[in-house]
Order: sequence, then C-alpha cells, then structure tokens
Amino acid sequence: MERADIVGGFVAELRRGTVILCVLASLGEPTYGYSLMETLGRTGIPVEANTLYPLLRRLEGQGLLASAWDTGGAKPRKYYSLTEFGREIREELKERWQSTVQNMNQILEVAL
Amino acid sequence: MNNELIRRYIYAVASCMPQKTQTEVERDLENMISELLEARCGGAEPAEGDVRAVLGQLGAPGELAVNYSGDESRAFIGGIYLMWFRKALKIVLPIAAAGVALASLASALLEGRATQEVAAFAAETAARCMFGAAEGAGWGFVWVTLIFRVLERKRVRLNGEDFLSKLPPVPDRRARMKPHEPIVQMLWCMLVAAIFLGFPQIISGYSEATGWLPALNVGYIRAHWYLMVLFAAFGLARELFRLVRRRYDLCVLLVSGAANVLGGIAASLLFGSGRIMNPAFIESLGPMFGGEAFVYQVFGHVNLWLLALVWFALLVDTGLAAYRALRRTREG
Repeated sequence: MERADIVGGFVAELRRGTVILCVLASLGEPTYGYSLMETLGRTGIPVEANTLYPLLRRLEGQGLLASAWDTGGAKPRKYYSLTEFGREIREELKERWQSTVQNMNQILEVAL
Repeated sequence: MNNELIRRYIYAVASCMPQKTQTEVERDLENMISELLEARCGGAEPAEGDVRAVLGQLGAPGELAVNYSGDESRAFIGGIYLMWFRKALKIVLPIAAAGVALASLASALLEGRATQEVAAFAAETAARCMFGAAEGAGWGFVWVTLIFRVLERKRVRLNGEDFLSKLPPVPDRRARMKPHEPIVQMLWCMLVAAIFLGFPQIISGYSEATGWLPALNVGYIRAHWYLMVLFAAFGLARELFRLVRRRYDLCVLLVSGAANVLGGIAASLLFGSGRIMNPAFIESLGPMFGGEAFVYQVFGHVNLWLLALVWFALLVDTGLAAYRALRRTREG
C-alpha cells in the first residue's frame, strides 16, 4: 500500500469520528443542508454531500435535530435545527472532545 | 425536478431502502439534489451535464443508500456488501428452502411403504419437508455469508464506474410489486405441491356403504410425482423472477406467460389422464347419488375440473401480469 493511501485512510478515520460534532457545533441556528456544507468547507472540514445529507437525516431520526420545510422562497428548503436533546449531546461531546485533545497533546509531547 | 435521470437515480437509491422509509428518503434526495443543482447553476435551468456532474458526485445509488441506512463497515459484513448480502439472502433462502423441501417430499414419496398408515406417513413426510426446508435455508445462509465475507475482504467492487447509464427505469407506482407478493405465491406453490403429493386423499367422497373414498388415484399421483414437482418448479421460477424484478413490465409478462404455459402443460399431463381417477371412487358414485347421470358426470371427472381450475388460475395470473405491464408501458 502506498504511503499516501495509508495516511489518507487514517485522516478519513479521524474525520469520520469528528464530523458529527462538527455538524452539531455548526447548527447554532436553523440551517439548510447545502449552507451547512459550505460552512463546514470554509472552516477546513469539507464534508461530501453524500455523507452530510444522510447524516442529517440519521441525527434527526435519533432526535438530535429537528427539521422544518421553508416554503417561502422560490423552492422549498429543509432547515435543520438542534433539539434540546441535541444541545445536551453536543455539550457532552464537546467536553469529551476537549479532554481527548488534552490527552492526545500530552501523548504527542512525550512521544516527540 | 422533472429530469428523467434524477427520477431514475432517486428511485434506484430509494429501492435499496426499507419500504417504510422510501417516501421520506425520496423527498430528502429531491431536496439534496435540488440544493446541489441550485448551488452549481444559480437560478439557471440545469443542463444535462450539470445533472450528471451532481449525481456523479453523489456516487453509486447503492453506496448512497448505505450512507442513509447507516450500516457502517464494522460488522462481519458491512456497507455496500451488507445491502447486496440482504438482497441475495432474500432470493437464495426461499429457493434453497423450497428446493430441499421438495426434494425431501419426493424422496419420502419414493420411499413410502405401502403398509404404512396414512396418518403416520403424512406426519413423517411433513416433518421431513420442514427439516429439509430448515436445512436448505441454513446452508443457503452459510454459503451466501461466506461468499460475501470473501467479497468484502477482497474489496471486490459491486458497482461499476458508469452507474448513471445503468440506472433502472422508474416504474409507475401501480406497476411496482411489493416483495411479499411473490414470496406468498412461492409459499402457495410449495403448499399446493406438498398437499397434492403428500395428501391427495384430501379430495374424497363419502357414502354409508363405502365410507370415505379418495377421488384421486394416490398410487398414480405418487408414480407421476415429477409432473407436480415440475408444475411447482415453474411457479417458483415465475415468482422468483418477479421477486428479482420487483415490477410488472414486458419481461415479467413474457416470463410469466412462458412459466404458466409450461406449468399448465405439466398439470395437463398429470390431471388430463383418466387414470388419475380412483376406480373405486367412480364405482361408488352410483350408490352415493342413486345413479343420477348429471352427478356422475360432475364427480366422475374431478380431475378435469381440477385441471380447468389450474388453467383458469394460470390465465388470470397471466392476464393480470399483462394488464399491469401494458398499462405501465402505455403510461411510461
């Protein structure tokens, strides 16, 4: 296996683990799918449409997100927002993330 | 969004999903594709190239369906392989179970001892068929699991690059087939074969003088068991094709017509012969009905009535398949 493939695989694994927290953290206010994809892309976390939209649907199914159709514009749009339960989960994940980052930094400092 | 390619893509993804979520997923996909096209083209009408680019970016329908279902590749069989694994199981398990059950039935009939009591024979045959069906399904499951495990380990691609040119056409909603329909029909075919081969005495007549007498010649039916197995096999093949196709179209019509004609021929060879009637039953009709010629005509040819019923059922099935397929072709 090529070096680039190996690194690419690890990076994809890392991203896969963080994308849910990124989505929950980016949903401060009701947002539609493509807008969220652009926001994530601008902040250096590009997520493919074929990953993001199914993920939004799954999070909605788990009760973390709620959706509503906005039919006011030229085309109806589906807006997603965090539910109360989603906010609680986001806060918990955020704490876990910060603790993981701290631990990781310690490990990396010792190793390097 | 009236683009045919989009409609076919959405249908291809949704048809990989469980039926209860299909409508929601279809709506979700329409929304996603609409947003992606709008971002790509602004307010302008998307060209065919734009549609192809957006759908190409979303990937093969099977892979997108896996993302929607959330079946990540963590299990023994996961991801796109899990989706195809489930589809393969739906086809292989009924065939394996039906095949081994029919073979068990045929074997029981060939080995059946003349001295054995009917009830004991029936119970033994039913048990052999049930165990045979379970064994067939079990082996089918084991083999399909092993094959898909190997495919996943070897990372064999199950979707080609050019998936857009291979998208299935969207059938009219009324031409779509619910998966339980062919499965119920397959079970019905097996049940009919099992009853006729195992318990042909079910069609009997009663008189005080003779007691219960089977109308059909049990020995003749068991000696010609292969005709009933053929009749059931053509029915199973027809339903299996429908199960794979999942919609009524000209292909389903042609296969149904051919299977029904062949099944009808097998049934005619079995029921058409006068020897299938029990001579003792025919002789007993006089004492039963006091020599009424009309009654004799009706009950003396039970085999032909059964054959007429079979042909009627096959004609109705072919007619319904033709009606649904032709309506779809006209509207499509």
